[in-house]
Amino acid sequence: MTNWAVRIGTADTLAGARGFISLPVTTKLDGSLLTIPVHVVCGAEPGPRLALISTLHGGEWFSIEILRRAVDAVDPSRLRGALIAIPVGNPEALNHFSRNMPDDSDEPDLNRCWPGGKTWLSEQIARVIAENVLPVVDCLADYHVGPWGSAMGVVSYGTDGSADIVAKSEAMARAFGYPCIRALHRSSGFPGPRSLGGYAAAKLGIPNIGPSIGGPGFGDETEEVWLGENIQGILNVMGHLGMVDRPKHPASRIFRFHTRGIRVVPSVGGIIFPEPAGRTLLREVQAGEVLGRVVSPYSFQEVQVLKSPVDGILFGVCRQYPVRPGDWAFFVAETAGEGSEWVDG
Amino acid sequence: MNPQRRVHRIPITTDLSGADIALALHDVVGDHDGPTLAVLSGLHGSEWLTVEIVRRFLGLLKPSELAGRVLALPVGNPVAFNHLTRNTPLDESDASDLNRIFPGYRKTITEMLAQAITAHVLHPCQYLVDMHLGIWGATWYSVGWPKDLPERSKVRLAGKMAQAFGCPLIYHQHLSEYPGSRSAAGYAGMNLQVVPIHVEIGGAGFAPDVEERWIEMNVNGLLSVMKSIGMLRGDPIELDRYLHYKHFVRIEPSKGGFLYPAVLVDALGTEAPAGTTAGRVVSPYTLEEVENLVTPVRGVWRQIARAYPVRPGSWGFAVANLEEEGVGWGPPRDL
Repeated sequence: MTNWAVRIGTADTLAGARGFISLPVTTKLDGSLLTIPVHVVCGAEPGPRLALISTLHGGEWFSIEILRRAVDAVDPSRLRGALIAIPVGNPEALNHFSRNMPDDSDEPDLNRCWPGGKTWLSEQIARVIAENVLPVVDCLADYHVGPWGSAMGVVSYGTDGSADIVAKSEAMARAFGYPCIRALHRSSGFPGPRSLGGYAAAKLGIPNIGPSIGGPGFGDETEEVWLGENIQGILNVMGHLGMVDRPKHPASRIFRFHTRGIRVVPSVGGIIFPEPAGRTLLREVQAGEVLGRVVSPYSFQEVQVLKSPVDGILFGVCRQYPVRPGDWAFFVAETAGEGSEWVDG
Repeated sequence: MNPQRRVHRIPITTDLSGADIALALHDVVGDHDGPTLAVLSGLHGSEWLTVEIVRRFLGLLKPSELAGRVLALPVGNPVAFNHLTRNTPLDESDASDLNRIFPGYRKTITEMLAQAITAHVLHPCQYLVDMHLGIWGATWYSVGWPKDLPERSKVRLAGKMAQAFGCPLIYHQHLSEYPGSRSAAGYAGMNLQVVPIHVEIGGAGFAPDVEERWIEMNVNGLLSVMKSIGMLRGDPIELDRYLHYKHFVRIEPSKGGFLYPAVLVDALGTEAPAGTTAGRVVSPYTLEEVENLVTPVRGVWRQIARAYPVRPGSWGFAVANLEEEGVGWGPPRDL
C-alpha cells in the first residue's frame, strides 16, 4: 500500500480507507446547519480521482441509490485512485422534492450557477463544492435522472473544450457502456458554462460526463435494471481509467447524437398517458408516431396528442402521471440529425 | 350534448394569477328512477390516481342500465392538484386541508371549494364514496365502514356498501374521530343523512401491472357498490371473509432519509406478527441506517411504501390492529 490520501476540506482519507466528510455551507433560517455530504473511498494505490455527484436538482433523487451502491461496490484495498461521491448535492431542494432551490433568489438552479460565490443558497453550495471537492478531482460524472414519473436514457459529454478534455470525456462516455450518448457543447451551449460539467471542463480542465439513466415510478423490476446499468457503467468507467481491474464492457453499438434532443412535452396540463411506443427507452420511433396523449382530469377529453416530430431514438419516456405545461414526457434524438450516427462500442 | 351525461362547471373564484378556479362535476342520469350516488376524488391534491379510477368508472356507465344518478368529482381540489400537494398551497389559514373543513364557511379558496362541493355534490346525494389513496411512493388497502352515523339503518347500508367494494379489509370507522366530523364523509353522514363510505385502495409509483390491479379493483368496487344499492342490476361482490378491524397503527419514519421497504406490496392484506420489520430509513448523506421501522402490534398490512425519500412523518406503513377485542377475519357482517 502506498502512503497517500485524499483531502476534502480539512479531512484526510488515507490509503485503503473510507471517509465521510460533512462540508458546512451555512446556517438556515430554521437554525439548522446546511452541509454537503462527501464520501471518499481512497484506494490502496494512488490513481485517478473520480467524483460522482448526484441530486444537484432535488427532484432527481433516483441517483442517490446509484451512488450508494457504487460506494458500497468499491473495495478500497483493490482500488487505484479514489472514488469521491456526493449523493445529495442539493439537500435543500431534495427536502422539497423540487428541481431548484425553493427560494426567491436569482440563481435557484444549482446546475446553472457554478462556481458560485454569491450568498444565495445555491451559490453557496456551489462554492463549497468548488473549493473543497473539485480541486482534488481528476474526472467527474454528474448525474441527472428523471423525477417521479419520467426516465432518461443517455450519457452526455462535452465537445467544446480543449481537444484533450473532449477526447477524455468522450472516452469516459463510451466506456460507460450505455448504447446512447449525446455530444453537446456543454460549456458554451447546454447546460451551459455555469453548469457543473460545463464549468469543470472549461475552467478546471476536468473531463466529465453526465449520465442520465432511469427515473422513479416505474416499478421495482424496471428500476432495478436501470440501477444495474448505472452501477455497471460506473465500474466500466473506473475500469477504463485504470482504477479497478475490469475487462471492457462496451455496448455493441452506440447511437451518438449532437443535439440536446427534441423535447416532446405537454403544453397543457392534464394526465399524460404514454402509448406503448412511448414507454420504452431507446426505441426507434417514426416521424408522426404518437408517443402519448394528454387527457383533461376535469372533462376527461383528450386535450393534446404528443407525436414524434422526426424519425429518431427515444431517450426520454414517461409513465401515466399528472403533468403541468412543460413537464417531463418524451425526448427524441433525430436519427438523421447532423452528426447522428451509430458507432461501434 | 347528451342530456344524460353532462359535465357541470362550477365556478369558485378568481385567483391572484387571474385564473378562474372551478370544479368539473360529471353528472350521469339513468333511464330509470333511483338514488343519487356521489363519488369524490382528489380532495387531496397528491392522491391523484383516483382521477383515472373515476375516468374509467364513468366510461363504463350506461344511462340505459342505470337507475338513479351519479355525480362524480374527479378533482376536488384543483389548486392543490396543480401543485400535487395534499393541502391547498399558499393557504395560510388554519384550514388548508379540504377534507377537514366541510361545509366551509369562510372565503378562503379551500373553504369556498368545500361550500361548492357541499351544495352541488353532498346535498343532492343519498350515497357517497369518498376516495383517498396513496401519493407517489405509498399505497393503501382498506375500505371504511362508518359506525357512528345517526341512524342504525344507515350504518347497516354503509356496511353493505363497504363490503360490496370487494376489499377484504373493512375498517370499522368512527367518522367523528377520523377523519373527523368536518371531513366530506363525516359532514355528509352526520348532517345530511347521506350514507358514506371511505375508500383507500392503491397508490402511485409502482409497477404498471400493480397499479392496474388497484385501478380495476376500485372501478369494479364502485360498480359493485351501485349494485348493492340497486342502481345497477346484478349481484354485488361478496367475499368469503373480511377482516373487520377498529384501529390501525401507523409505522412511519420519524427521521428524514431514504426509505427502503422490507415488505412488498403483495403483502397488503396479509398478517404480520408484532416486531416485524416494515422498512428502514437510510440517511442519503452518511448512507447509514438511521431508523428501523417495526410493527408494534400484530396486524394486517393496510399501507405499504416503496423505496423513496421521506421526510419525518411521511407516508410509510400501517397495519390493522389485530390485538383488539372483536377484531378478526370472518364472513360478511350486517351490523
